[in-house]
This record gives sequence, C-alpha cells and structure tokens, in this order.
Amino acid sequence: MTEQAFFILTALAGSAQHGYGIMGDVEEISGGRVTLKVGSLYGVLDRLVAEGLVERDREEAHNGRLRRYYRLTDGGRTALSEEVARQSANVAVAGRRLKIAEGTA
Amino acid sequence: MSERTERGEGQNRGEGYDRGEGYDLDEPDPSSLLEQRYRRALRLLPADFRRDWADDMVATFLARAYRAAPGDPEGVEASSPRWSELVSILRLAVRLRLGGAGSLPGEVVRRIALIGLLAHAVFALTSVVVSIWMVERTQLLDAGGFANWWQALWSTAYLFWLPAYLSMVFGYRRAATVTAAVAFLPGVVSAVVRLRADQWAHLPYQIGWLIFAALPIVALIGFHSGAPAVRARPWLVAVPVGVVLVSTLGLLAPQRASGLALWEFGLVAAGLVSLAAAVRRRWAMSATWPGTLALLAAAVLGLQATTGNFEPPALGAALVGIALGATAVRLHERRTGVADATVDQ
Repeated sequence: MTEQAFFILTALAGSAQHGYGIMGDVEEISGGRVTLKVGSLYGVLDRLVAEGLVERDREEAHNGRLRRYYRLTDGGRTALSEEVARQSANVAVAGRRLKIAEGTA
Repeated sequence: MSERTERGEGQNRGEGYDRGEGYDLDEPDPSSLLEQRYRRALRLLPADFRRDWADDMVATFLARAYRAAPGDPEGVEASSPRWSELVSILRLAVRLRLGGAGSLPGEVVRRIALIGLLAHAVFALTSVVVSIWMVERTQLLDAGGFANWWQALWSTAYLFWLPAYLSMVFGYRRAATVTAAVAFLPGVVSAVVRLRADQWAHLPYQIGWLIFAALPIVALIGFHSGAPAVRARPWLVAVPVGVVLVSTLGLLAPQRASGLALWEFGLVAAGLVSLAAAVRRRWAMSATWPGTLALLAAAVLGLQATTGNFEPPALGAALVGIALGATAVRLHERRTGVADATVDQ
C-alpha cells in the first residue's frame, strides 16, 4: 500500500469526507509531510474505488454545486487494519533491534 | 458501519476545511473563467476517467482557489489554474494512459527513466574525468584563461545527472525531476549555440538528440510517485561499472565511441542477456526488461535515422530490438493469458 493510499484510507477511517476535506485531513494527520495535489488525490481515489476499498457515500449541494462524499468500505477497513498491523510489527522489530544495539554500544 | 458514524462525524469534518469567507459568502459563478480553464485542462484525462471524476475535481480545485483568496472571489473567478495544478493533471493523464505502478507500462516507464538517467550520469562522470585529465595534461586553463574555466564549469553542470539518478534510485521522484531538468539545460544551450554557428545541416540530429536526452525526464513525469523504490544496490553498482566501461571503450576506440554508438553497443549487450534469460527460464518471466530494451532500441534507431548512417552497431541494435519486441509480446501474452484465450475462442 502506498503512503498516499494509506493516509487517504486513514482520513476516511474516521468519517466520510469530500475531496477537499480529504486533502486537508491528510496534510493534518501526516503532520504536513504529505501534501496531496488534486491530480494525485483523484488518481489514488479512482484506484481505491476500483479495488473496492472506498465507495461513494452521498452528494450534497454546496454553494450551487454538488459535493461528493467518500467512505471506507468494509474491505477498505480490513485493508487498513492489516496495513496498520504490518507497520506496527515492523516498528516493534526495529525498536527492539535499536534497543539491543544501544545496549551493546 | 453504522449510518450515524458514516454521516454524522464525517459531515462535520468535511465541511471544516472550506470555510473560506469568499467561497461561503459569495456563491461562485458555475461558469466562471476559472472553472472553464480547469475543465479545459481536464480534457487531457481519458474520457472514462473524466466522466467519473471531472465534476468532483473541478469542485475541489475551486474550493482550494476560493479558500486561498477569501476576500477576492471576483479575482478568483477570473484567475488561471496554477502551474503546479496543471502539472498534476498532466502527470495523472500520462499515468492513466501508461498504467500505474506495477503494471507493465508503468514498470517500463520507470526503467526507461532509470536507464536514461544512468546513461546520462555515466557519460557526465566520464566526460568530467576525461576533462580533468586533459586539463592536467595540457595546462589548458593557464593557457586559455577564463574561456576554459567557463568550459570546465559548463561540463560540470552535466554532473547534475548524477544527483538526478541517485534521487530516482532512492525514490525521490520530485528531486530527480528537478535536478534532471537542470542537467538538461546545458545540452539545450549547446545545441542552440551550434545552430547559431551555422551548423544547420545538423538540425535534425540536434533535435533528435535533444528529444532522446529528454526521454528520462518525460518518463519521470509519467512515473507513479507512489510506487515502491527499486533495489538500490545493483543500480548503484552500475555507475562505477558504466564509467569504467565507457572510459575503456573511449581509450581503446576513440573514433567509434560516440554517444550513439555506445548506446547501440550497450543495448545489444543488454538485449542479448535479456533474450538468453527468457530462453533459459522457458519464457516464464516478466516482459518488463525486453519491453524496456525494445522501446529504447526503437528510440536509438530513430535517432540514428536522423544521421542517415546505419553501420554494424545500428544494424545489430535493430535486429536485437526486433527480437526483444517479439519476446516482450510473447511474454506478456503468456502472463495475461491472451494467447490461450484467443486459442480457446
């Protein structure tokens, strides 16, 4: 799973959001490290929808134009949980190795 | 997932990001100049993608624009999309048409970028090493003064290909694109200078060479930034190996060691290795390497055609290129089952 896809799924894990909301949320939860361009956002969203990880939630009229919301599917929630477990296991292993290295230094 | 969770919290969070006063207080004109310009730019995208996403993309672009200038909605409506936004649309268009990370076209694009940058880095390093050696031998700087210092500085500008290549190997695509563009500039200026010196007979070759040199930059633009990084070690080892090989060929056969001939020799060698691997593995391998090398061979032969001079290295590259193309098609069909499906029908 790419970093962009990971953060988009994470942004949608809390609640359904529209495109502009996802962009702001990804920047916020990544501590400003990941800034999505509109082209990148919709390229990844297109792939996530095709893979069944994200789906359309609803459309709302806002200032005269329709705004579309997206949400995680059950498959998306599972994929994100598996990715979190994988990254957590990696972090745990790296942390243990670092502690061992510091102990022997 | 409950209905409350889906619609309650999400609604609040989503709306929290677009409270730009101009956007919220002044309803935007749905057919503003800015919207028309965004829609025109989005025509670069494939029609089916545009049908699914264009309206939403325009809404997001406009939300960002109004948010950036909340006190001037009229100014926003008459403004133009930012360059970075247009580049992001262009990159998405290239990526959608070539295929994403992991797909055959996507991987071919990545390898064209890597091989192109590697070749530039190796040629740049070799040329600087040779320049330093010549300066040492002939004391050109003492004799020629500023002009030769300028020349020395100019040739070191080519060295920007090296950080571009290393950035690509370690997965920093944006840094690779910027440094590659800087490294490309001396070549453009040199071509213009040569043309101003009445070398118009070489115009097709100059233009062909510039297009060929720009191939890795074009590939970088289309390359998927989210793709996992390549294994760095073999690509790093390739730099000193390439410098030694190119320097040796340059010393042993200086008349034959032009950039184009070196490309042809390299492609023939790599192509033969790739074909041997396909036979040895009984066609059970990815079509990525044969496909990449076949496309590069086609590009090199296109460049060679501008010189009107087909010598044995070019003919060898043509033969190996055709064999690689046929191999790539066969491997791809085996992998995707296209051949079997056709037979079954």
